[in-house]
Amino acid sequence: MISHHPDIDLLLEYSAGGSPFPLAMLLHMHLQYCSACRHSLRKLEIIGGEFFGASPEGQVDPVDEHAFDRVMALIEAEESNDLEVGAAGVEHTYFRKNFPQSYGAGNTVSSLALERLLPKRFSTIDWKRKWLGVFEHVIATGGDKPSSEQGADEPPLRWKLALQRTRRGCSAPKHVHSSSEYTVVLQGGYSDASGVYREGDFVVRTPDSSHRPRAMEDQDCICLSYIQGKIGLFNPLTGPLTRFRQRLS
Amino acid sequence: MSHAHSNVVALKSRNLLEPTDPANDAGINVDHDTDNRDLSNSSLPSDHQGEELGELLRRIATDRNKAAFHIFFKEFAPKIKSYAIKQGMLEHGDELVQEVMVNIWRRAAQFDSSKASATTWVYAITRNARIDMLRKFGRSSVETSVDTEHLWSIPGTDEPVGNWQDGVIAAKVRKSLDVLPNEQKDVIAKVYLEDKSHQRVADEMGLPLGTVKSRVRLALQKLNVALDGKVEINN
Repeated sequence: MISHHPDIDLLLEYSAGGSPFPLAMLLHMHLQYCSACRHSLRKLEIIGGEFFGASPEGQVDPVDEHAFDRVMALIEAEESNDLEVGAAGVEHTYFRKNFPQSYGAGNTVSSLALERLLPKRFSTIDWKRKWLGVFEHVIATGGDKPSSEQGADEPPLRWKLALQRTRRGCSAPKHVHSSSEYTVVLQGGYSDASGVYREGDFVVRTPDSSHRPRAMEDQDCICLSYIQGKIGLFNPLTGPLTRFRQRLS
Repeated sequence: MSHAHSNVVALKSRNLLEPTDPANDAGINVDHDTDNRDLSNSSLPSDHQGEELGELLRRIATDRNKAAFHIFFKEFAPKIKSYAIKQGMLEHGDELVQEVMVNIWRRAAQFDSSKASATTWVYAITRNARIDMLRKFGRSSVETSVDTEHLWSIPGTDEPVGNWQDGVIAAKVRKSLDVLPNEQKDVIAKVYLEDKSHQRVADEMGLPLGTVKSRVRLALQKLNVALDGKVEINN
């Protein structure tokens, strides 16, 4: 049972196609597990369709009258090249195989999007050890420049998208995030002072919050995380250490 | 007319949706034959429009019917272009129209009226084509290794909402949109049509982020997007 969901604002931005790539990945993964959010998103898409369908046509440059002919010419050229029509029936196997899911009948999680970002075989993922029992595989980093054209006025914020694996029963040291962290639990689960998180849960940690996550005892916990800013160790006497550990590769 | 395509003309004889003279520039009214039907629920004319758009897609898929495709083009090309302009892609408007229409032709067979209405379906294709174009203008190579379709499509493992239900939701949404206060409608329209984050909308309107977010929430509640059972982690 999924008990932690993304905020509706995040789903709305995703539905509008505006989420930055790493956040879109996290939402996409949560949606693989969460039928409630799929349902909300379907409604949001209908709303998007209504705004789209109601676009006033009067104020727009008319579509030029040869546009249809050009589209037909493109289509004919393509079809004479004998290209496959559509791309239905792609088999999802990788993710299903490596993150076996058992909640809900016939409900298997798979993601071609995540597969594309990972090595061909799960066993060949290059895990970097971060702490005792805590491993990380960085998928992507960014933030040296604004992530979209329209975000030019926003300050660049470094981020990374990573798979994190914590051995059963192990915990990460208490740490603080300088900015937001988004996590989707892909396998197993973990807990910290604010709650228990299981497969499919979408967890947001707001800036400057600290926690000490601990993987559940029954199996390794694998999460996909989108981490903005820096992570610092937490010193119980002085609060966050001033010297942040810069873990972005 | 220049685009009285020979194939289109050939297809006209077995025509389907009258009046569909592709050379008639008077604009296509896809509601045209609703009067001929037995309308048990005539308060939702747009559902019938939706049905007809779905029917056009079926013909595009099964007969590769160019006349149907042409009507579809006339219905959606201006909307796609308008969307592109609102997204700040004026100079790429025609390119987006082209891209989307080619996709519609290619994927018409994948349209499933039990899953979505034609307008919702076209909206999703248009949104994905826009995302694709923005990627082409340069983002990280990691990002481009993921197919836009895979990343942005709703996984389809559920019981379909159903075209009927989709139509009812759309009708409700439309009705609610009419009575939604402008300040709420504007915020949602900016997010959907102008690809603005809540933060940017807030900056632009000179409002605190919290105000923008609560307007969105109120609006979505009125539009009946269920928020039940959502838990937020705010600590």
